[in-house]
Order: sequence, then structure tokens, then C-alpha cells
Amino acid sequence: MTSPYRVSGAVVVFGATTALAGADLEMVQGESVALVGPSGAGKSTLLACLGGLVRPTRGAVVIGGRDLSGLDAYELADYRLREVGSVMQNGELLPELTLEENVQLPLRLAGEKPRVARRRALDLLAELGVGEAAHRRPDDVSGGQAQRAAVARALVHSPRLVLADEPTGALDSANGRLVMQALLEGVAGRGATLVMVTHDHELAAMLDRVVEVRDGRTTAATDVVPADLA
Amino acid sequence: MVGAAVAGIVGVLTIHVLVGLGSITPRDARLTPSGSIGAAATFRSFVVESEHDGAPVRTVLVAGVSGAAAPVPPGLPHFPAAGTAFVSPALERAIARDPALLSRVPGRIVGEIGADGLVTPQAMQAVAATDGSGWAMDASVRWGAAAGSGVFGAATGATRLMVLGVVGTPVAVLLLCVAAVASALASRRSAQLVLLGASPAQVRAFAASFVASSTVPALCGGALLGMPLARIVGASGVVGLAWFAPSWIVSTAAAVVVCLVGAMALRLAGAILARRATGDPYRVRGTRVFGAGAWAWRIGLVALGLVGAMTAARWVVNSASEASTLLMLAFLTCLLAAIGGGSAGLAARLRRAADRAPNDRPLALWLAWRRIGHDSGLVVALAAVMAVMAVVVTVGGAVELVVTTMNGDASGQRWWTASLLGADGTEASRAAATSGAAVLQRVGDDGADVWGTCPDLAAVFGNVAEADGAPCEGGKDYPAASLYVDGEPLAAVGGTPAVVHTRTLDPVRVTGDPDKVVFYLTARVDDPDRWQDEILAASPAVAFTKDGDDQAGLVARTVSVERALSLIGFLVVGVALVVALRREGPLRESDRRALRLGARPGAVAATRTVTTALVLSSASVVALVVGVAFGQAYLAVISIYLVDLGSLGRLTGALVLLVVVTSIADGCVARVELRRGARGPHVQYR
Repeated sequence: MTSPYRVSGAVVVFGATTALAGADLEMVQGESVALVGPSGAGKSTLLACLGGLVRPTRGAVVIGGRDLSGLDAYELADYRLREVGSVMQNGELLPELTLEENVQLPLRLAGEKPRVARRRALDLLAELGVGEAAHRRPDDVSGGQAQRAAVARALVHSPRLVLADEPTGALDSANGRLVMQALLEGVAGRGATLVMVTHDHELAAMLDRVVEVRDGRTTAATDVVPADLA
Repeated sequence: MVGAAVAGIVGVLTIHVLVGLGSITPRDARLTPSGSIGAAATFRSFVVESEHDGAPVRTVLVAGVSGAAAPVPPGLPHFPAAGTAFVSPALERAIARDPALLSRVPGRIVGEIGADGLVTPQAMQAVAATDGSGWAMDASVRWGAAAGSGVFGAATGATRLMVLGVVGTPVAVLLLCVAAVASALASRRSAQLVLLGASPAQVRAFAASFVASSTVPALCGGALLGMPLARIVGASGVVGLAWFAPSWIVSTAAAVVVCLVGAMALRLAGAILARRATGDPYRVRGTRVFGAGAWAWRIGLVALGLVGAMTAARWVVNSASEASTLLMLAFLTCLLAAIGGGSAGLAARLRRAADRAPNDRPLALWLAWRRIGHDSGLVVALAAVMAVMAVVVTVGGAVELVVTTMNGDASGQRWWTASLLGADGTEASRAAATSGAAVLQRVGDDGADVWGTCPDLAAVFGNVAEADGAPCEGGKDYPAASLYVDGEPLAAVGGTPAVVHTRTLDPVRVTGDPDKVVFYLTARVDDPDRWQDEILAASPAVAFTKDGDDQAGLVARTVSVERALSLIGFLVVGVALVVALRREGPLRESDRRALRLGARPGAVAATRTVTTALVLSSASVVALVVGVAFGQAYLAVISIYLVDLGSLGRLTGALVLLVVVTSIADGCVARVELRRGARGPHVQYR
């Protein structure tokens, strides 16, 4: 049976830098995978390939039977909008929008009615414990609140794939746990697949599988298991 | 980068215009024949100044003196032989388009005048040689006078000032905007330095260096590009003004000055704008750029109110007094306050409106409002620049209105006088008949005669009546000093009481030896070009003067050109500013984030279009109000109580055009740029 998410032999070259040198990855629906490895190994680039933000120079990224390299700009935008939710280290929230507006943005972009989008955004923010800050802008709230809002934005449209790039990297351990908990519960509740880049072994151990990325390549058949990281 | 480069180009161009215009007067003088008391004439000359399509045409008639070595006219290979002429390239092209212009060049054209013999690259000039018989020509010794005729350099001083205003001010504003944008980009790092313990001086130095390093290379690149561009623009006259470019050394010096002054200004602006970070580094993260309060709006309103009150007061009392220095200072202070306060106040108002805008609006409108609310720097910058440009347009329009009012009647016709220096009675009659002259004057040693119907005489001389107050009657011959104008005997040119023939011209009666009499033709002219052609065809040695100010037409033309320039500058600066702030503004990051989220490039481009349209529309309102208020105030200051509807119409049209064109262009550029980015391998993510 073919995995719904497959990266095979992905090579990404940025000018003189080879960010990925033949990475492979397969995942099934509902699985959670941690990408670990030293800085500059290519973890974020692999994540970006899965999100349709980077086209591999060679190799393929196949999602649900579609090769992303064959999609045009509009199809890639639709893919990201409807099938992917992203949480980045710094949140990537739009600074001019309130938390609630940031969360409803994917729904609005997808054509949802403003009232419905607003309701769902507020409900989700309340669910994640940041309902009281919903009408404040990202610059006016704490890093933990902003990051939970970013998690809400990644989940609000019930994506099949959630990509997280060090979502707790800029947070203290208490806030990091809150964010991680919200992310894992949200992903599990929606049956989504989670791919998370992290340097934190404890966080990696919370996921189903750990894949190491080193020198632009993933660990081949013998994926690292959480216990190996301990 | 784009903004700095534009500032560099325009800065160098401005210096070249100023230097180039400054060379007109000395060139004009160098090309004018002159004589010396007591020195033997080496040639004879007469300068005919006419106009074609509002531009001056100068024909220098020359004649050799037997036995004397005539100096070669500048730009010519030799002193022309009698019956031949040299013309400038511009006049040659004009003749090719309209052969009637050949009347301005008596003789056969045998060559072109070189650059040394031209006042400007586009000047219409001719040097024509005659045998000198019959014409009242001056004895000349050399080429080069203390001063030229001035027709080419008319209003040069005003033009240079206007160029400074039209171009220099927007460049200064543009540089400030560039510094502000770069400074905003530096603010986070400045704040980090403060948190590390850097002193305010160190932070200011860092911010100044950051702003300079991110903008000065582009500024200097623009300045370098401006050097050859200024030569092309000056030689072609495409902007309505033509000039000979200075040497490359001067050009290089101009570029160096622009780079140095620009760099200093940018460093200074960067250092000043860094104060926000040094004051409270924790606030930088949430600070909105250009976050002026409501007080700014009040300053703008008060300034406008004061100017309105001053205008109304002078209008009501119909004051003819000259504006005092204090009033002028108040006028300028209010102008600056209105532009600054109006721009910053508009941003505050828009921010408040944006914060209140509900988020159930259409997507592009919703996001546009939020962007304006978050960063109103674009509003402030555009409103300030557009207000400045609007004031330039309306004040230029006011000047043109004044000149037009002084010089011409309601039908657009003007009264012209042609002094036929050297024409005999036959030539004068022919010129009068073909050109439809209303009044002919014949002034000689034996007295003066004037021909014309009573209405035409009244139009030229004023209220004409007999000594006892009886009205002028047609078909009569009035002896000298029997018709009066305002209590004085009707006198011809020179003040000689004239015999007045109140009838249309009778060629048989018009006689005169050209050595003893001079004829003057006065006519109401609706086609000056054709009229001058006809006069010159009948009698080549003519001096034309217009009723009122001799150079008023040229001034009006200059002002028109400058206003057209300012309107073009309006569009160019507006578009450049939008592009500059778009490309380098903090909201660009929002576009990238929205794209990563899955927004289609079209949706992001639509948001940009709507943002630009909202910003420009609101800035246009401020510009229109400030421009019209100060245009009318300027008219009141110079005691002209008219409503300048022309400027209002043109300004409104330009603003509407600016809003529509720039909004659409910004959206199109964004669409192309974003689509290209979306297709690229890694542009969005890196």
C-alpha cells in the first residue's frame, strides 16, 4: 500500500548550498513524526518541501498521490490552504491582525463566511486557553499566547497535515509544554499527520516516530526510535 | 533601495537643470552683437525677436561693412555672405514642419548654427546676412554684450526657483521616507543594542550607519545614472526645458554633492529616528510606525483655518496692499503646519477608522484596513508628498492665472505692436493690409499720423474724444492735438501729437522714407504665429511688442511648462513612493506570511491594490484641500481675488489619475512579483 505522504530522493540546492541531498520520508495518516538532527542538516527544508514552499531540485514529494512539483502556484496555494497547517518557531502571525483574526484568516481565504470563521476562531482560541487575548495583536501578547494562537491557526481548518518547525523553541518549558499539549491534542483530535522539527529530545519522544536528518539525508530504514534519543 | 535610487537620479537632474538654466543668460549675452563708442563698426546688425508657438525665435540680421573684417558669429564657420542664412537645428526642424516660418529667415539657408552659437539646444535662432540697405541696423564691433535680449532667459530665476520647489521638495521628502523605512527596519536591532547596554550615542551611530549602508549605495547608483540622463534630457528638451549640460567635471561634482548631502541627510534622519528605540526598547516590538496622535490633526486644521481666515479677510476688504513680511511668514508657517499636521493627522484618523472597521468586510478590504491601521507610514509619506505637489500645482496655476489675466482679453486675443524699422510706406501698407492691422502709426521728423477706426483707437489708446468731450467720429481727419485721451492730446509712439485719420487704412495716403519715418502696426491678434509671419514677410526688420508685459507670454508659457512638469512629477513621485515603500516596507513580510499560509497571489495582490487605493484616496483629499487652500491664499496674498477653478480641475484630475493608475499598477506589479515568487524554488521560504 502506498503511503499518503512520501518524500523520495529529495535534493534541494540553494545556490552553492545543498540543503537536502537525497532525503526520503514516508508517513501514514494520523502518524506523528519528529525530525531531529544538528543545525543546518536540512530539517526545515524537508518540512518546507512537505508544505509546498520549496520545490526539490530533484526527487519527488507526493502527497495523497499528487506530486507537488507538478502543481502550479495556485494549486500549491490551495494545497497549503486546505490540507496543511503550519506552526513556525516565531509564530508567523500577521502583526496587523488580532489573534482571532489571524486564526480565522485560513478560513476566510478559503471562502468561509466571516461570521462562521469568527465563531470557529474564537471557540478554538478559548479551547487552547487564549480566549481572553483573542482581540489583541501578536505584539501585545506573550510569546506563549502568540504561539498557541499559531497552533489554533494551524488547526482551525482541520488540515490533513500539520507541520511544526520548533514550535516551542522560543518559549520557556512551562509555556512550551502548554503549546505542545495543545498541538498534540489538536492533531490527534482531527486525525491529522504531524511532522515536527525539534532539537528537544523530550518533545521528540512524545511523537510516534523520530527521523534523524544529517547532512541533507534522512536515516534510512532504521529510523531512530525515541528511546535511542534518551 | 528604489526610493534612494530615484532620489539620486532626481537630485542630480535637479542640479543639472539649475546649472543648465544658469548658462542661458551668459550664452544669450555672448551671442548678442555689441558696439563701442568711438570704435569703427566692423558689421551692422539688427536683432528680430519673434515667437512661434509661444517659444522665442531670434533672427540676427547682419551686414558687412566694406573695408572692415567682420568677426565670425559664434557657431558659424564664417561671416555669412549677403542673401544667405544659418539656422539652428530646432528652427530647421520647425521650418520643415511649417514652411511659413521661412518668413523669419530672410535669405537662402546655407547651413546650421553650431552648438557654440546656440542659447539652448532647442533654441530657434537664425543669423541672416543682408546687404544692409534700407534697414535701420546698428553699428556693431564684436559679438558679446554685457547682457542679451533676455527672451530665452525670461523668467529663468523664477524657473530655477520653481524647479527647486517642484523637484527639490519631493526629493527631500522621498529621502526622509527612505530614511524612515530603513530606520524602522533598524529599530529592532537598535532596541537589542539598548538591551545589551549600548549608550544612546552608540545606538544612534548604529542606526545612522544602518540607514546609510542600506540606502547610500542605491543613492549613489542613482546619482551616477542621473549624469548621462541629465544630458539626454537637457539636450532633447523633453521636460519642456532645454539646456546645455555642464562639463563632466561639473556633472561629477553634482553627483558627489548629491551622494554626500544625501548620505548626511540619511544618516541624520536615521540617528534622529533611532530615538524611539533608545527611549524604550520594550515598546519597539509593538510600536506602529509613524504613530502620530490626534493632536497632529488639530494642528493641520488650525493651520488651514488660519489660512482660510486670512484669505477671507483680504477677500472681504478687497485689500490691495502688499503682504507684509509677517504675513508671508505666517503663510509659510501655516503651510508647513498644514502639510505636516494634515498628513500625520490623517494617519491617526485612518488608524482609528481601521481599528473600528469590522472584520466581516470582503477579504481584501478587511486586510487592507488592518494594514493601514498597523502601519500608517505610507499614509503620512504619501499625504505629505502629495500635499507639497498639490501646493506647487495650485500656486503655479495662480501665477499663470495672474499672467493670463494681465495679458489678453476674454477671447484669448492679444494686442500686438510691430515696429517696422526700415520699412517704407509701401511695405508698411502691405504689412498693414495683409496682417489686418487695426491701427497704423507713422512717426517721422515731420510729425506723426495715426490711422484707425474710432473703436480700434479707443482699444489701443483709451477713451478717445474731442477737446469738448464730443465722441470720436469715423471717416474724419483730425488735425494734431484735436483728439484727446484722458485729457491729453492723442500722441503716437514717442509722444508726438498725431494727425488722426479715423478710417480704415488707405494705402495711398501712407507714404514715408524709411530713413526718416518709422511705422508701427497695432492689431488684435488671435493667431500670433501667422500674424508675425505676414509682417516679417513684408518687412524683415521688425520689433514686436505685446500690450502689457513684453515677456508675459513667455512667462506664462514657462509657468505652464512647469505646472505640466509638476503634474508629471506628481504621478512619477507618487508611483515611485508607493513602489519604494511597498518593496521595502514592513508589510511586505505580511504578504510572504499570507502566501505561506496558502493565500493565492491574486488575493494578496488584491489586498495591495485596495490598500494603495485607500491610502492614496485619503491622501488625495488632504492634498486637494491643502493645495486649493494655499493656492487661493497665495492669490489673496498678491491681491488677486479670483477662484482658480482651472487649478482645481487639473489637480482633481491628476489626483484621480494618480489613485487609479497607481492602485492598478501596484496590484499588477504585486501579482507578477508574487506569482514569480510562488513559482520559484525557494523564494517564499528563505
